[in-house]
Amino acid sequence: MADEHRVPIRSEADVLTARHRGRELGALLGLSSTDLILVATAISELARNILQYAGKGEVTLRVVNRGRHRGLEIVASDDGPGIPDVARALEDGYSSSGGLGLGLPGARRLLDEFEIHSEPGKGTVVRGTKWAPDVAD
Amino acid sequence: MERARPLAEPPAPSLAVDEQAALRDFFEVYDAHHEEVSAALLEWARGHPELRAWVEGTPPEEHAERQRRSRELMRRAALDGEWEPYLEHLRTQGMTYSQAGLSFRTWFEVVAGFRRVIHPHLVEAYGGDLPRLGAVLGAVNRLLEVALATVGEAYLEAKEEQIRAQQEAIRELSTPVLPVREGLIILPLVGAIDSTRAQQITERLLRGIEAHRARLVVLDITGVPAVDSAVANHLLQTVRAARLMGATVVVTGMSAANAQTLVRIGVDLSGLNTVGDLRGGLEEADRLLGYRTVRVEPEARAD
Amino acid sequence: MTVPVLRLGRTLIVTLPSAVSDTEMLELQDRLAEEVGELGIRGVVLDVSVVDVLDSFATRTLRGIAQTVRLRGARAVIVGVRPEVAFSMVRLGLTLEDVPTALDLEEALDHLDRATGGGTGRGR
Repeated sequence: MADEHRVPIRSEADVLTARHRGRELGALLGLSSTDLILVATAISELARNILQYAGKGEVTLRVVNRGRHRGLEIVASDDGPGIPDVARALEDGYSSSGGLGLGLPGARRLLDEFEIHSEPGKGTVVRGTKWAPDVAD
Repeated sequence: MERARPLAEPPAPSLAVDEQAALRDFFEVYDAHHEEVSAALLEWARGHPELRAWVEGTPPEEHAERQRRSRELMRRAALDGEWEPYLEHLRTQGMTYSQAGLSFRTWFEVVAGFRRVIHPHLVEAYGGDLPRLGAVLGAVNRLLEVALATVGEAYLEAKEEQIRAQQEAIRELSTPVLPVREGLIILPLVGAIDSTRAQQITERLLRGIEAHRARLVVLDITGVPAVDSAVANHLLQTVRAARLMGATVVVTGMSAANAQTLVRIGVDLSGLNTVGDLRGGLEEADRLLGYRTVRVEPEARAD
Repeated sequence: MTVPVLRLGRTLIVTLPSAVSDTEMLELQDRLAEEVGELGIRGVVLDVSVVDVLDSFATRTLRGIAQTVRLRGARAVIVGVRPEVAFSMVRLGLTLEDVPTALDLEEALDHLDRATGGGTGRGR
């Protein structure tokens, strides 16, 4: 199992690829079937954001360790216009209305850890992690 | 059962050159007296209430073989730098002690007992050369630290796994999904609900809807002590998720006090279909499903 | 690749594949808009039982399809949302709001029968 899986996001077919890769890695880590769907859905939201607001970018999937715990780290990055007000973008009002729907607050709710770095003109990096259950059977 | 591995492995201990000499000194003595050492350890164990049964239930040849293997692995680690097999052996020991139900103190004494037993032999061999004796005792201490840490960590992991499994079993028991009649299931909740449990409840409820083809779920929260806004939000999420699957959820057992608290906090309860008590909830459920309960008069007995 | 659409009397049963592209979804919407009108369809069942991810885009599009179908005079029902998908959707904050849902095909057809006054032509 490679350390890092980079999926370039240039078209919606790539969104599906990224989702699929996330599911594969998640399954290897022992994520529950529910968690696998959460991961795939989060990747879908983040990858679509890239397409919609930056045109292209990249999703990187990595297995991470913290002491005894293993997790799947998802990094969605692009060189797009950036988000002027990150705090506001993470507010709930933007999510399910179907309008501006950045999908960020939603993606955050699907993952265990979540952080976002973005500045206008400097692109956006979203990093989230889903931790696997403590002990493997 | 495959044992759980700590994935961030501590690096194999590296010992300095003069430690190597001290370890060779140690093994010379150990090899020469290993039978006495084994006998002394077994004797001590036989006198220990938690260990006696195991000592006496195992044939002497097996004890001897176990000791031989342990000694060999220790030697290959300390003198040849082959730490992995020895560390694996220690980890298995820790797991075994935990699963056998040995107390923390007992496993500690088992591992530390080795030093107590070998000590007099080392003093006898090197007592005339204090620096050398000092070095040997130091090396033995280092070995023991490695053993205690490795066995201990494995012991704790196995214990934590046991506790986790028990908690899982308790959760399963406390979140039963009860099929009542066709299309209707009941989920009586008992106990406090944190976000982890809330997720499990939602998952069980949704799987229950699928498995029993339920169109209606009665979710009874009479047994849930504190319904605060967090719990209420979990309930709302559960209700919404069930609706996505085509099922209606009726929440019963929401006390007047709880309801008032939630209204005061400002939780939007409009998404919750609530009925006072379980019986009322079942009647409502029947109504929604289109059932009508009719009382059948007992036939008059002809005397 | 087109999305399979089965006709059952005056009902259309649409089986969405597990990974469906945005383009295919939009094409489906157009196609249904046409067929509902042309064939006098009274009910459309949108079967998502093999769909493993319903993100915000897919959900919006499904709602859009349901609305389009209604505007053309038919009823829509979404069927087969999997437990994990339902869970994920509410966590994301998505709802299907005004679109009725059913657990399986049989319930969906029952629902449509009731909603259209037996007009689906199932002949029961």
